[in-house]
Amino acid sequence: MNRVTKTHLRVALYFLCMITACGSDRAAVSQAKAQSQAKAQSQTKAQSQTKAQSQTKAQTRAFDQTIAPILSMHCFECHSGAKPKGKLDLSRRATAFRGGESGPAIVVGDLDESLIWEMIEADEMPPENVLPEADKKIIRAWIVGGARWGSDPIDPFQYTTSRRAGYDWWSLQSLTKKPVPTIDGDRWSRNDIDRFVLAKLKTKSLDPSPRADPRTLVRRIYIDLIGLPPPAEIIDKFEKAPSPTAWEQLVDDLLASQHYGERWARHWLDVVRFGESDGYEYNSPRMTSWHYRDWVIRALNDDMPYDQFTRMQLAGDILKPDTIEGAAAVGFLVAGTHNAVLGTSPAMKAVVRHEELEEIAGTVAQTFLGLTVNCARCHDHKFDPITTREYYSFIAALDGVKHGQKQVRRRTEETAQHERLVQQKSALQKRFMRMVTARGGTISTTANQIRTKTLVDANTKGNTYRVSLKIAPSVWASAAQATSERDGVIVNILKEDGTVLISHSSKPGAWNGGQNASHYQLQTFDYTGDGSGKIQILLRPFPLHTGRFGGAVDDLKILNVVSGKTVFEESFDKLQQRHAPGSQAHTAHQVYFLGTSDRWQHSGTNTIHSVEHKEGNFALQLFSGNGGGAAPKAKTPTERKIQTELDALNEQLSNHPAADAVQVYSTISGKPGVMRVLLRGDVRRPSEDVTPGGIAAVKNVSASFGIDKAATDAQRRQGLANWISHRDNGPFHRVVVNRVWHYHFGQGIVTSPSDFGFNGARPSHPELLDWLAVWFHDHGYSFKKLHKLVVTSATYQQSSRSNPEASQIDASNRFLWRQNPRRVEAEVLRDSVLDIAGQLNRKQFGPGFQDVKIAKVPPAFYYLPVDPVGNEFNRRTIYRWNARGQRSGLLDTFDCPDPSSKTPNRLVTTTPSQALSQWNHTFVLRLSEKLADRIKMELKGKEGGAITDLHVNRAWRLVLGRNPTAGEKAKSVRLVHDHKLALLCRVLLNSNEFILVD
Amino acid sequence: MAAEMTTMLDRRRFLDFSATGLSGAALFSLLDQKQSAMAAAAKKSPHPIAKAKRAIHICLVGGFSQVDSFDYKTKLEKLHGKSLPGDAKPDTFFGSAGLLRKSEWKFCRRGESGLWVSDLFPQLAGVADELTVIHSMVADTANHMPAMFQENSGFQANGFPSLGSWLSYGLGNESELLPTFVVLPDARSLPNGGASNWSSGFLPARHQGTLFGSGTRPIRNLFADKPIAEAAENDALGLLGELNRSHLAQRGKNDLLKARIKAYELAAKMQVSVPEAVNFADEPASLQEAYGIGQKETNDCGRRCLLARRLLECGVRFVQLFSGGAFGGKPRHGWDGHENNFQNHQREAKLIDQPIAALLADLKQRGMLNDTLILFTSEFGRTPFTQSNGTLGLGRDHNPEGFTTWLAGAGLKKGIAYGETDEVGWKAVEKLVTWPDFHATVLHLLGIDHEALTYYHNGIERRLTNVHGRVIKDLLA
Repeated sequence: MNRVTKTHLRVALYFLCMITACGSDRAAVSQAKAQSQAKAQSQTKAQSQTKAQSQTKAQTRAFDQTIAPILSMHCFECHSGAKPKGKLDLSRRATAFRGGESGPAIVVGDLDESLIWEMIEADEMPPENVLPEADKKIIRAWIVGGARWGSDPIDPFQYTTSRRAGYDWWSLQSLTKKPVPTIDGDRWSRNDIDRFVLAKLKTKSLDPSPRADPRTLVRRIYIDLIGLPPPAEIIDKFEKAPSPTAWEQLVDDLLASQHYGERWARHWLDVVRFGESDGYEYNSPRMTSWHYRDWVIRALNDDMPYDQFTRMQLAGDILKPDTIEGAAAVGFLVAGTHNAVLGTSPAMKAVVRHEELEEIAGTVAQTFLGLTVNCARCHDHKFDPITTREYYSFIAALDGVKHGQKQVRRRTEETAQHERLVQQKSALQKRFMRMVTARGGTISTTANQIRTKTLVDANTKGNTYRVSLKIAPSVWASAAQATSERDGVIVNILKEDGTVLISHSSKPGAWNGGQNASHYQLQTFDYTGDGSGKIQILLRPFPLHTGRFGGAVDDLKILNVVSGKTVFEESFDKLQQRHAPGSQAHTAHQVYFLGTSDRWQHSGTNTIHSVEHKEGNFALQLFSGNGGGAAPKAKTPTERKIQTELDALNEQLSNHPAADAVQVYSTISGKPGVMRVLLRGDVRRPSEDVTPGGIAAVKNVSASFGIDKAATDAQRRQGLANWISHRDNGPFHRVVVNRVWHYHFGQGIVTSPSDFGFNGARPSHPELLDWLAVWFHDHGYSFKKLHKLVVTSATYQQSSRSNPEASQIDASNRFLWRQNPRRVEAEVLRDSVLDIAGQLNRKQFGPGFQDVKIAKVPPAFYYLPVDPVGNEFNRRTIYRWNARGQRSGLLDTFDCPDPSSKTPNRLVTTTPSQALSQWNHTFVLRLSEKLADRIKMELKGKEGGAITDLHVNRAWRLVLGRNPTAGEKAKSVRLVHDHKLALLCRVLLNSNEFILVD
Repeated sequence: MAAEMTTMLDRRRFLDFSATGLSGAALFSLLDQKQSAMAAAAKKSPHPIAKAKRAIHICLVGGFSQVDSFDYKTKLEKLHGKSLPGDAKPDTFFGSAGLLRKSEWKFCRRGESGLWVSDLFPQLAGVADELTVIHSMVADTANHMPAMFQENSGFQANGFPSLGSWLSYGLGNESELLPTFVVLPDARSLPNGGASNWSSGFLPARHQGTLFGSGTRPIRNLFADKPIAEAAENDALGLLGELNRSHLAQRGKNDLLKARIKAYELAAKMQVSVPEAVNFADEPASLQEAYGIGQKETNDCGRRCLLARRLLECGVRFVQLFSGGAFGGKPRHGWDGHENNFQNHQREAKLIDQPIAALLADLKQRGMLNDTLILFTSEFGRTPFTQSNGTLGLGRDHNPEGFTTWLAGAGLKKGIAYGETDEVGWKAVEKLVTWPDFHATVLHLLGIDHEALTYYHNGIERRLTNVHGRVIKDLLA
C-alpha cells in the first residue's frame, strides 16, 4: 500500500522547503502528550503570536506533515516505546538526536555522521521494506537542511498530509451550522437544499435541469420510497394536477405505507451485511435471524429516531432486556459471518475470535461513523488517525459479543403466574426423582448412562466431599426445547457394592446460552463418606418431561473438603464450540455413536446417543432417547402423593399459558476479559492491556467511556452506543444523511458511503452535507422528515435527461445538474414483476421464504437455488431467506450482493447472463403467463373484434404505466395475434423502459 | 444505481473508462473492460510481459499429502513408527499427534528432470518434466475453510474476490460469447462454502465464476426450461429490440441502455457458443479415451479436463476445476485423509491422475502449453505423523506448515523443484512460499503486477495479495 506518487513527492518537497526556509534556531516543542492517546490539539491559537512564533508553528507543521509520518510509518515499530531496539527512540527529539547503542543517529547538516542516513541509504533500515526513494530524498534534505524537529514527541496523526489523514480530517470534526447561500434572482429553489445545490452549480457554470414530467416523477418516487411501481391510475391522476401540494400528498402517502420500511430496510441490510447463514465451512443456516430484519422494517415504518435506532442495534438487549425487540435489534452485531470451526489449540481459537471481532468492529465503525477502524489491527491505520491501541480498545468494547441464538419470552402477568407454578413443579419433581433414584428405580435406559471405570478413593468415613460439575444443555435436546421443558442429569455416587451413597439431580439452566454447549452452569453438592470402600460415579439422564434429553457435562471434580485437595477430576473442556443441529463436534476425545463413528452424530430426535467413557477422559453426552426413557412410575405412597400434586399443578398450568418462548439469533452477551494489544495482530504476541473506548480522533466526544478494563459487556456496549450516537459526534451525523442522499440520488455527496476516511471520496457539497446533518439532528433524527425534505426539493425533482453541454463539464453529475437515471435493483425488479402480475403476497414479517433447496453433506450446508411456485413464495424479496454463498439465477445477475460483503453502494452491471436470466428464467416466464391471465380476467366479458387491442393497452399500462403509442400498439397487437399475450408480457417485462427509472 | 454507468464509478475509474471511449459493436466489451484496472495500473507501473494468456486451476479439496506424492523424504522412511525428532510439539488441528508414518507409495525419479513423484500419481509421473514443483508452501491456518478461502482469494474470510475474479477484472474477456471465469465442480458435491469460493466479492458481479453443470445446457437460463417456438422467440426478441432502441433514441446518451441492448444480442449468440463448447462430438474417440472418458473412475474428471481445454480454446480466461467437494461425506469427497490416508488418497488419485496427465499432454501436443498456465494446489498438506494419540495411526492431520503445489506451462522453468521442507516433510524450511507469493507469481505470469491490480472497497485499495506477496523469480523461465 505504498502510494508514493509524484504528487506526494511534490507536496513533500514543498513542505521541505518550508522547513529549510522558515527554520529558526529553536526547535519547536509542543506540549508533551501521552503518545498513543494523543488528542488533536486546537488549532486556534491566541492572536498575539509573535512573528517568530508563527514561523515556528509553520515549521512544526511542516515537520509533522513530512518527516514525522515517514519516521512513524517506517521506524517506530522498533524504534519507539519503552524498550526501543538498539536503545534508539526516534519518536522524541532528545532521544533521536542522542542516538542509541551505536552512537548519534542524527547530526545536523552532516549526512556522513548521521547513522540514520547511513542505514537508510544502504537499505539496511528499515530491514524488510526499504524506504522508497522519494522518502529517502526527504530525509536527506531534512538532515542537510538543519534537521529541525516539530511536535515532540512525534504524533504522526497531528496533521493531514498528502498521504494520510490527521486529526484535522474533515469528517472527524464537529458539526457547524452552515449558512444557507442566497442567490440573486433564484426562482428555481424550492427549499434550502436547492440553494446549496444551485450555488455550487453556479460556480461550475452549470444550470439545473427543469422539473421532470409528472409521469416520470410518480414512477421515480414510488420506486424510490416503496420499491414498487405506481398504478397507472395514480400516474394519470397526478398528471392532471401535478401541484406541489399533490406531490407532498403523494410523498406522505408513500412514507406512511408499510412498503416504505420494506424498501429502505433493504438498503440498511446491505450496509450491515445481513446474512442468514454462518458462512465458512459449515455455513449453518440461521433460521431465527429474521427478527433483526423485521425489527429494522418496523423501526423504519415507525420512524424510530436514528440515535435510538443506533443505540438499539449496539445495546438493545441491555437497554430493553428480556424483550424480543432488544434481542432482535442487536442481531445487527452478529449479522455477519461466524466461523464455528475453531481447531483445538487456544491459539487457533484466538485467531478465529479475533477474525470475528475485526469483522464486527469493522462493521460497527463503518456503518455508523464511516471509519475503517479494522485497518488498524496489525499496525496503526495507514491513512486515518487511528492507532492500533485504539483498535484494541474499540474491539474491547465489543468483546462481550458472541454469536448465538437466544430464547426470549413475551412476558405478561399471566405468564408470571405460569413461572411460579413451574418453579413449584420443578421442586416437586426434584423430590420425586430423588425418591425414585434412592430406591434404584429405572429412570433411563442403560445404553446411555456413563460410569467411571476406575474406583475413586473418596469415601473416608465422616469426611465431607464436595462434588462440582459443569453442565450445559445440548443442542440435540430439540424435543425438550420445543416443549420448553428442561430435564437434567442425575449424578449418583455409588458404593463399591453398587448401591447409591448419594444421588444428585441436576437441571441445566435455561436455554439462554444460544444452544451453546459452552454455556455451562456450575452445580455443587456435598456428601459425607461412610467408609464402605471406594466410590464410583454414575451419570444418567433425568427424563421427567419429554423422554428425550441431551446434556453435556464439561467437567466433574470431587474435593476433599477437609484436606482441600481434589481427589478426582475429569474434564471435557474441548467441547467449546457452538453446534448447529446436525453439525459435528470435534473433540479430543473418542465419541461414539452406536459404536461405529468417530463423530458426534445427530439423527433426529428419536435416536439414543451415547458416549464411551475412555480412560482419562470424561467426555459425555447423555440422551434418554425413546428407548425406554419415559418418566418413571410412582410406586410408594409418598411418590403417589407427589404425583397427584404434580397432576394438579399440570392442570393449573394449562390454565396459565407460558410466555411465548421465541428463539432469536442474536448477540449473546458474554463475560469479556481484559483485552490486550496484539503486536502485529498476532495472537501469540499479546502486549499491554487496554480499556474499552472509542477513537480519540473523533472531535469533541471523549473516547473514554469512564469504565475500567474489566468492565462488563453491558457497560462496554452502552459506553460504545453513547459515544457513537453522541450529539457532538460529527461523523455519526454526516454518514447517515449521506446514506439517505445516496439512495435518493444514486450517489452520495460522499460517494464512498461507509468510508469517510482518507481513502474515501471527498464530499461534493461539504456545506450541504453539514447543513443536512444539523437539520437531521434538529428534527429529531426523523428519517421520514429527512426523506420529505429531500424529495420535495427541486434538485430531486429535476429531469434526468442528459445535456451535452453539462456533460462536458460534469459527466458524472457530481454537482447535480440533473437527477440520475437509475436501473432498478434486483429486488425491485422481482417485486415489481410480482405486483404487476397481481401475484404479490403482501404478508409482512416472520420467517422468510426459501428459494433454495438446503442440501447437506454433514456437517456442512449447501443452498441450491430453486424457483418454488406458490403464494408463500410471492412475498417481497426482503422476506427472502438469504444465506451466504447461495446464488440466485435472477437476482444475482442484477447485482444483488452476497451478504458476505458489506455493500454500502451497489454496483450496476450489464451482462449477457443478465439478459439470459431475465429472458429465460422460469420466474419471469411464469409471471408473464400470470400477467396475461390477469389481463384476460379483468377484461372478461369485453369480447369482440378489438379485444386484442384492449389486452395490449392493459399490458402496457400495467407494466409501463402508460398507453402504447400507435406504432408500439400495432407491433404489440401483431405479436399477440401471431403468438400470444403472455409473449408480449415477457417482452415488456424485459424492456429497458421497465428496468429504468428516469 | 445511476443508469449511466459512469456515475457509479469513482472518479479514477471513471476517467479511465471515459478515456477508452465507446463505439458501436465494441460497446459491450468496452463496458466489460472499463473497470479493468490494467489501463490505470499500466500508468503507475509497467506490467510484466504476459507469458500466459489463460489458466486452469486444479483445486484438490481437503489437503493432499505432500509426503505421499511429490515431497520425498528418506528420513521419514527411516523414522517410520518413531516420534518426531527433537522436542517440537505439533499444534495440530485435531490436537493429537501420533508417530511418523512413511508413505505407502514408492517414490521414483521421473523423466529427464529426475523429479521425485510417487506411484500415487503414476500417470502424472509420466509428465513430470513439465512440472514446476513448489515444496515449501505455507498457509496461515490449519482450518479448512479459511485455508481454502486463502488459497482462492488471499484472505481467510468470506467475501473477497477469488483469483479467477481478479483475473477477469484484470484481463477482461477474450471472448464475448463465453464467461471469462468458469468453474467445474466435482460431480460428487460442491466444495464447502459453495459459490463463496468463486465469488467476485466486492468486484462487479460479472467477474464471479460461472458454474458449468453437465449436459448440453451447462449454464442456468441459457434457454427457457420449456422450449419456445423459434418463430415466437425471434418475433419477441425483435419487438424487444425495437422498443429498446426507440426508448434509447428518446433519451440520447445512455450507456446502460446501450449495453442492455447489446447484452441481449450477445445472449442469443451464447445460446449457440455454449452448447458448442460442451459438445465433444468432434473430439476423436482415442483422445477422449486418453482423458479417461467412459471409464467409471475417471469419467467425471476426464470430461471436465477436456471441457476445460475446449473452453480455453474458445476464449475463457480461467477455468477452476475441483477435485473433491464437501469436506464431510462418507467416504469423504476429497483429500481430507483423517481416518485412513492411504485408502483416501488412493481413491482420490485414481479419479484425477489420468485425466490431468492427459490434459497436460494434450495441451502440449497442441502447443497450448506455451501460453497456458496450469495450477495444481490444495489448501494445505498433511502431517508426516499420524493423527493419533502418540501411536502409529492411519490418518494424517492438516498441515499448513509445509506442503506442495505445482504449476505447469507458460513462462516457467520446467521439471524443477523449489524450496524444501524439513527432513520428515513437515515444516517448510527453505525458500518459504506463502499464498500471496504464489498469487503474485501467477499474476506475474499472466502479465499483471500484483501490486497494481487494485480495487477500492470500504477504505482500502484492495489487492489479491493484500499487503504481501513477491514474485518467485526462481520459478520463471
